[in-house]
Amino acid sequence: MENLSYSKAIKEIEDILKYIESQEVDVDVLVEKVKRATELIRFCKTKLRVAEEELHKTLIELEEQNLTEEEPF
Amino acid sequence: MLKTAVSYQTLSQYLSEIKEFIQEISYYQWIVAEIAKVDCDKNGNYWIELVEKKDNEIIAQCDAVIWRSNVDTITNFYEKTGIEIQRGIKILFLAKATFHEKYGFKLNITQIDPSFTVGEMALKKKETIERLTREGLIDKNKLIEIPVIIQRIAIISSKSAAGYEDFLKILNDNKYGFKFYTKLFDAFVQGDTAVSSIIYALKKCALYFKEFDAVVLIRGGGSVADLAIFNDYELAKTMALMPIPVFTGIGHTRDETVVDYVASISFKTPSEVAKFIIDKALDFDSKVENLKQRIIHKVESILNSEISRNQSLEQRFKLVVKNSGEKLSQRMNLIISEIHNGVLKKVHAEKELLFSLKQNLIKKTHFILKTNEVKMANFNNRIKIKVRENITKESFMMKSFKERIFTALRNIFKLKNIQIERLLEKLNLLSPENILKRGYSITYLNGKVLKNSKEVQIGSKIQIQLYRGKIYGQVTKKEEDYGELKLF
Repeated sequence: MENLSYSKAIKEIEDILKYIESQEVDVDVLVEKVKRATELIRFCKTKLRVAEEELHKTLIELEEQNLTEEEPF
Repeated sequence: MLKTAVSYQTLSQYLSEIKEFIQEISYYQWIVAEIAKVDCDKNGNYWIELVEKKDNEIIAQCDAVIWRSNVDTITNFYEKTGIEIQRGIKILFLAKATFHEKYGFKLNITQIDPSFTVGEMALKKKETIERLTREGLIDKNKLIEIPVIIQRIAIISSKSAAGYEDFLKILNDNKYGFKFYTKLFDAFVQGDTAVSSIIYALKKCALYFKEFDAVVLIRGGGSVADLAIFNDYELAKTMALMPIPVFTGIGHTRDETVVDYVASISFKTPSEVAKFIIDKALDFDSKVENLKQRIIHKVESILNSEISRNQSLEQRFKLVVKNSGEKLSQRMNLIISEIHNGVLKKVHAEKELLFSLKQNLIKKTHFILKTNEVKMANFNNRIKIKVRENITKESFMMKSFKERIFTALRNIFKLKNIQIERLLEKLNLLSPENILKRGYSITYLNGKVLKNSKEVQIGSKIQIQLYRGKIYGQVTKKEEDYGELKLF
């Protein structure tokens, strides 16, 4: 999945719903839209619940940096 | 000398008079002062140092006491203000001057008015808030958009603070399985260094703001007394200038602190911050779930209508077919079977054509292969014969050459033999033996062949070689010869 934010993802899901609700949708297009919506929904649900390696790494790096910093007091 | 002796008193006598004097004239009076120091002794008496400052210079100072019997006023003060009697706060109190021979001058405080301190603090707070408003800082952090999901959280707190533990526990034990990432920026949240410690933590946090969705300032669990630090102007300013939203949960029960005014959102306790964060995630998650259901529903209805449309088309088609009667059906069958036959025929013909083409191709291929094989064999044979012929011819020629060479050699040998024999005969004829045989002789002088009479002296001894035998003689006479050789 591309670098996506929660707000962008939900916006896109909403747009897809609006699109398929508002007009006559060709089945082929519908399949495409639903596929994309599924991806986005999975992205949101997974990102909320699954630990991300990358994030952990960044925070650990911050931790290490802090250790080397001196206390100002 | 002692006649004129002055009357004197002991120190205690004198101080006792002073004491009486002070007690006589002193009365209870409401006084305002700032507390510089508070100590509570083991008996429950409060010993206080009071000061009055003007432009930060102390212009008055004295000790005061609150006897255990008056300690109710301190409890009342805490209940009304939410803070304890402590250094730095201004109080309005009812007191009377007292003097003791041994313990000196002291103000005896019997009552403290909480509303004065509340007002004092409120005034100070109000001023700070006004200043922040004037400087455009009060809403600065509120203007930063709060992310849809607050998942990466920078926490400013003390590692040991109970509120910090509560916060983490609620966040991580959420029943929805949401994952949060927290990073503690450790700071003192009470005591003298609290303000600078929190400011430092905020600034450090700001350096990494891209790694976080929000900052959470939590305290909780500690004493209520130290809330005053959260009214500090510098602290509030630093918070207002944070590049990401700051949430506060500093665990107060009464009025908000200045920091709460500045915060993006302020909560009463750390737990409430955690709940808010979880609720936000839950809201989002439900929204996604809701969208998902709506999409599923919509897709189902679209598909259903699509299916029913197809079904109705089928029905109509069936009806039309039925109405057009048997004829149509028969004709169609006929046409179909004709087409079928035609197709079958065509297919069959094509198949046969293909088969014969295939056979032909195989045959042709075989034939070409065979012909080439025979041709090759022929070539082979002809080459073999030619080679053999050539070899025979050559060997025959070699044989005749050999013979001719032998014959020539033989002839040469014969000729040479004859020549040699002839030469031998000549040689024989020429040999001195044969010459001697024919009557010639050879005369030697001193072992040398004598050819000229000039070479010999009369009387010289000579030897004459004959064909058979030798004669020894002495020269008696000689004739010399000058002309041509005349043998006879």
